[in-house]
Amino acid sequence: MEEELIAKKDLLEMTGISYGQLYRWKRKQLIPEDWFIRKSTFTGQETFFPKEKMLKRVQMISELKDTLSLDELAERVSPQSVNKIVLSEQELISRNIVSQTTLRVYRAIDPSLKTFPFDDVLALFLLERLLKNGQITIEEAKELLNTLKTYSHKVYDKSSSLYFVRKMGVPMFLLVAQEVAVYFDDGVNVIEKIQLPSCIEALKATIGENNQTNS
Amino acid sequence: MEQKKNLTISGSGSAPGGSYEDVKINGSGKIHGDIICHSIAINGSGRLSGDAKATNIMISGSAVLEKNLISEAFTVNGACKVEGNVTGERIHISGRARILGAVHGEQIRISGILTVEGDLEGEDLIAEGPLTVGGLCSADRIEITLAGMISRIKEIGCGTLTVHRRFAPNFFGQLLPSFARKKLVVDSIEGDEIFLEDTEAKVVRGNRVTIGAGCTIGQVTYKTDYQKDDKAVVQSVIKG
Repeated sequence: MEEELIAKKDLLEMTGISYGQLYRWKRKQLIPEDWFIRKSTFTGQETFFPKEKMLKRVQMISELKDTLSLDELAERVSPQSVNKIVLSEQELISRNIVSQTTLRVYRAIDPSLKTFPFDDVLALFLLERLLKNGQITIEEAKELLNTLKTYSHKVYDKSSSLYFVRKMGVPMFLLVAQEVAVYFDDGVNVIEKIQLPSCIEALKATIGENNQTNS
Repeated sequence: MEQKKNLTISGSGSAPGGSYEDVKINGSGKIHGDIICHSIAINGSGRLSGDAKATNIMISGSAVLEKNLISEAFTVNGACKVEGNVTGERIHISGRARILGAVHGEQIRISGILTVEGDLEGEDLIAEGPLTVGGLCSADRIEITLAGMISRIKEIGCGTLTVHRRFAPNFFGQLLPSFARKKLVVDSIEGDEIFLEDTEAKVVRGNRVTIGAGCTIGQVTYKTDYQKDDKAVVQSVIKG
C-alpha cells in the first residue's frame, strides 16, 4: 500500500504554484501537517508529499481560491470544522444524505436521537453507501453502527479507513486509524475499504452545497 | 448580562482563574487555573498556571505562563516565558520572550530577543535582534535585521525574505572581531524572493535569489534570477 510520493520541487513545477503559496496554505492548514514527509536524499533533507492526495488538494484549492477566501477553504478541509455541523432528521432526508431505509435501520438501534451531530451523520452516510451497494445486510448494519458510534469520534480527524471484511460468512468491521497496511489471511474477503477523510470531504461538500442553495 | 469583575493584585498575592474583565498584577501575583478575560496587564511579576485567553495581553514586568496563550494583541516589554503555544493576531516583543511551544500570529514584530522552540508562523514577520526558531519559520513576508547575537532558525519558508545587516558602526566590532559577527544560521531557506546578507545556510531554494555580502551558502537552486555578491561564498548553483 506504499503511496507514490512527489518531491516538493516536482510538485511546484507540475502545478505551477510558488513556495510562498505552498507555505501560506500550510499556515492556513489547507494542507495537513502529516502530508509533509521528510526524507534524506543525497542533496540533504527534502520534503515529499503523497502524490495523488496532494495533487487533488492543490487542484481543489486553485479552483476555489478565487471564489472563497483561504479561511473559508480551511474551514472546508479542516476536520475540526465538522463539529459545528448538526442536522435534523428532516434535513438528512431532504438533502439526500440518507434514505428512509437507512434511517429506519438507524432508528432501530437508537430511536431517541432527534438531531444528528456530525459523527452520526457520518455513520449514516457510510451506512447508506454500504446498503445501497448491497454489500451488507441490515443485521450487519447494526454492528457497523455500533462500531462507528463507539469509535468514530476518535478517528475521523486522522487519515483512517474503514474495512468491512467477511470470513466464511462472518462479517467484521475494522476501523484503522492512521494509514497503515493491513494484511488478512487468505480466507478473508475484503468487501469494502472506505477512506474516511475523502468520505468526510464528500459529505461536507454535500452539506455545503445544500447550505448554499438553501440560503 | 452579568457584569464581569476586574481582578487586581497589588502587592503580593494569588487568585483563582475564571472569567474577568480586566486583570492586573502590579506586584507579584499568581493566578491558578485557566483564565479568560478582556485584558491582562502584568507590571511586576506574574505567573499564570493555566491557559490564558484575552483580547489584550501586556507584559511589562516578567511573567511565566505555564500553558497556552490566545489573544488578539500580545505585547511583551519585559521578559516572558510561555511553556505552551502562543496564538495572537498582533504579537509585539520588545523585551525578551521564550516560547517552548509554537507561535501562530498575523503581524509579528520583534525588537528584542525571541526564542521559539516550535514553529513560528505569521503573515508579516519583522525581526530586529536575535531570533531563534527550533522548527519552521514561515510567513508571507519576513524581514530580519541582524543585530546582537547569532540568530538560528532551522527552516524558513516564505513568500519574500530579506535579511539585512545593520550598518550602525560598531566600536566593539572593531576591537573584537567576534562581536562583529552578527549572522543568521539556517538549515534551509525556501521562498519566492530571497535576499540575504551575513547568512549561513545549507540550502537556498527560490525563484529570485540574491546572495549578498557575508553569506556562506552550500547550494542555491533558483528559477528566474540569481545574483551573488563578490564577498559571498556559494558552493554550488543550480538553475531548475
